[in-house]
Amino acid sequence: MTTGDPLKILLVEDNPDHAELVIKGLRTNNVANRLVHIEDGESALDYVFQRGNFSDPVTSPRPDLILLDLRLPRVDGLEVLRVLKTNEDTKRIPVVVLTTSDAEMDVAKAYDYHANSYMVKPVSFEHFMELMKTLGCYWVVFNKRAE
Amino acid sequence: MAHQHVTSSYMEHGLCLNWEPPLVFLHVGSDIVTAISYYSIPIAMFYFAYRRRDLPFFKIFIMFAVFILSCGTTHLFAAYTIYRPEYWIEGYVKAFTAIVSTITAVIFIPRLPEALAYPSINNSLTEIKRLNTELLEKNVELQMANHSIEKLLDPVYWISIEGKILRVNEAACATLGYSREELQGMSVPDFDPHFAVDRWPEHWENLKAIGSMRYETQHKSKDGTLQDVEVVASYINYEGREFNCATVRNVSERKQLERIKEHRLASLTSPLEDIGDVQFTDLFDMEDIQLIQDAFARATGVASIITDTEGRPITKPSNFCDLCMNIIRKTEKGFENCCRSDAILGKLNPDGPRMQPCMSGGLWDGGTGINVGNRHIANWLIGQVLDESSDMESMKAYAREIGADEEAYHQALQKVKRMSVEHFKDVCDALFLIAGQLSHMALQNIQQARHISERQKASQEREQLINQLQDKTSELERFIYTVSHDLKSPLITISGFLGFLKEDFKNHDEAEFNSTVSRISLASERMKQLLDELLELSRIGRKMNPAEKVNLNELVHEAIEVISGRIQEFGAVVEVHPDLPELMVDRHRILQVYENLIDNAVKFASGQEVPPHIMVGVRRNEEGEQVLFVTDNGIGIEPHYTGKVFELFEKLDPRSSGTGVGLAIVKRVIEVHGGKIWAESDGVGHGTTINFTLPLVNS
Repeated sequence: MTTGDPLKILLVEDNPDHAELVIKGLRTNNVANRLVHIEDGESALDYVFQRGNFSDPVTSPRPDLILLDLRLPRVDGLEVLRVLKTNEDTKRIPVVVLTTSDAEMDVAKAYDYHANSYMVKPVSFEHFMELMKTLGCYWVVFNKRAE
Repeated sequence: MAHQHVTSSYMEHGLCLNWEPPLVFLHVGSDIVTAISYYSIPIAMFYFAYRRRDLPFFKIFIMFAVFILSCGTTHLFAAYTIYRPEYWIEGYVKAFTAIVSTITAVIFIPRLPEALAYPSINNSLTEIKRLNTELLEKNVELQMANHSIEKLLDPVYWISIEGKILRVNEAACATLGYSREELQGMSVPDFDPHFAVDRWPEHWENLKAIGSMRYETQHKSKDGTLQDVEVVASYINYEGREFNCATVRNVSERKQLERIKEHRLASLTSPLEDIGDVQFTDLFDMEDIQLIQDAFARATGVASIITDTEGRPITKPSNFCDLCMNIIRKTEKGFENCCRSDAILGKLNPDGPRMQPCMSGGLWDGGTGINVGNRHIANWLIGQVLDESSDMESMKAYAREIGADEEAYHQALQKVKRMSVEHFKDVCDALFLIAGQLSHMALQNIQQARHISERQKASQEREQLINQLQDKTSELERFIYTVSHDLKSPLITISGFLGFLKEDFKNHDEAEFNSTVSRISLASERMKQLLDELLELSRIGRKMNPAEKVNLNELVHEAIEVISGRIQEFGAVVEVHPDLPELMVDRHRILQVYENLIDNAVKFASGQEVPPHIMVGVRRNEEGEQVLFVTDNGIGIEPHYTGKVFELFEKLDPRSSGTGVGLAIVKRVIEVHGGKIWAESDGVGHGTTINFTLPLVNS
């Protein structure tokens, strides 16, 4: 995997509008990526562990980056984070929490569960775009991923 | 004299002595005397041995005697042979003596050490004397110990392994009422009703194992009365002999005191209205009161007693005169009159004490009531004094009236305390003041006790309220958190897409433009809906419409009308049971409930192959309550979510329209009506049933 290859991003987001914003944002900022959008916590886990509906590794490749919302149906975002970060196979995948909540409790909990980063969705288009650009830059260009 | 014998060839020894008379006499005499001694001694010894068969070294002693005997015989023959030359016989005797003496020596000498070791008589005597003194001392100690136990106030019992009484002290006899002989034949179960005969062996084993036990039980005396007692029992093993030694203490008084204290505490802390049976004895310490009463009576010279409101004595009488106590009150008529007189005296008079000549003997009596708050609880009576100016004749005549001995009556009358009416009035006034003060203090006691208990209750209530407040605060915090999050979400959508709108416009991308506009519009719509519903939610409970008689059948059909658009859109079929009841409810709210529930049901049953089928009905549960329900054949709920559906903003399917407030509103309405609501589902794909109860007031 070298830099420049399209980033395989897993976006776990239950709000379809927000998901659309992220996708459009990344596209507008030319962050090359292959994005998979999953809408609930349980399916997200199934995807990463390549089981259930997502057992085909071709259609469900291991993601290079996970964007994770906290409020998710079926399995909560923090729980997904915890599971991913405690599992030997998946704990090295960078998980960026991307959520509406800026509550102290949520931030603390996320870091307790070893989130790589915590980002609050901004209520401003400019800031949102800024965020997407930076996200792309940082995680695609600069960040070194584990093999 | 010369005796010549021709019978033997030997010569008698006298010849050796030349038959000199003094010499012969000396020898013969000595030998004979010696022989006599040597005979008498063994005879004495034989006699001694015969009498004292337990003689130590018996055989040696006998041998000695025999030896001395044969020595004596030797001497006898020595004298004989002076006159007769029977030397062979003498020789045999000597030989015998030699044998005997040797035997004696042989058996004696080796046993010399043993003989030496034998305690000397002197030592034995001193030893015996010493032991005697020791014994005497021990005896004194024993007497002292015995005496102490005998005179102990508490009963002491010595009991055998079979449970039989071996020994008791005086107190035991006194307490149980049996004589010593009677008790010493009895067993423990005879007077301890809690000890069945077959329980004793087990008890003995327990006691042996533990060593000492303390327990409470009851003892029955000879006349049948039961007393509460405390027993301390110990297991004693002395030189292989086993005993149970038990001391007993009567705890009836202690128990009684405990009960009084409890009663007093209860009466002090319960409100005055339900004092119920609070007595004088509950409010005052009777010992203290008796002391006060006695002191007052002594100081003033009057008689005194405290009675209840009926005239029955509560305290012991102080300073009663002989006349009243032993003569008048001992007669039936006299006693009756006294009581009646007493009852009148104590009647509550707030201005001062009552004073009047006793209706019985004519002596002056006074009294005042003791009251707590407004409750008259006791009378304090004094009197039995004689004013010199009274009519002595009629007083003397009273003796006849009640049938008492006139002579004794007159004598006792002479002994009654003399006091002027004025002086007596002073005493009564003093009594009035004191009693008033006592009453006041009792009231204060009650008030204080009640104040304390009220304060405790208040503090408990406050704690409860604080807890409730804390719960509510956390609930509120959670609520605010959730609301702000759910309002923020659409804002992010709106602002985000507004940005893209500009792009789309620049790019002349009409399709994108329109799609973006609709997203924005929908998001803003959602915000409005959310705010409206939150407002609605807050109104429920604050502004309730009055309950009216509602026919649920009608109501449900009305709800269906309202959402008919959606129903038709999804091709749903809604079935309504005909036997829905009539209830007293807030019509508007329950209409909302049904609108919400049916709408939800339609939404969640849509998108499947089978058209949505909804049923609205009523059933009875196990307790016989009426349960209303709305069932659908929709996507169902996972079992562990069935509780969560009613929580605010919990949307199981995030893509569905709706704010997540609807079911929360429904729940609140039901709860405000005093009912319960819950969801049932067999799992995903198996439909859902929302059940709820409403307090039924069937018309």
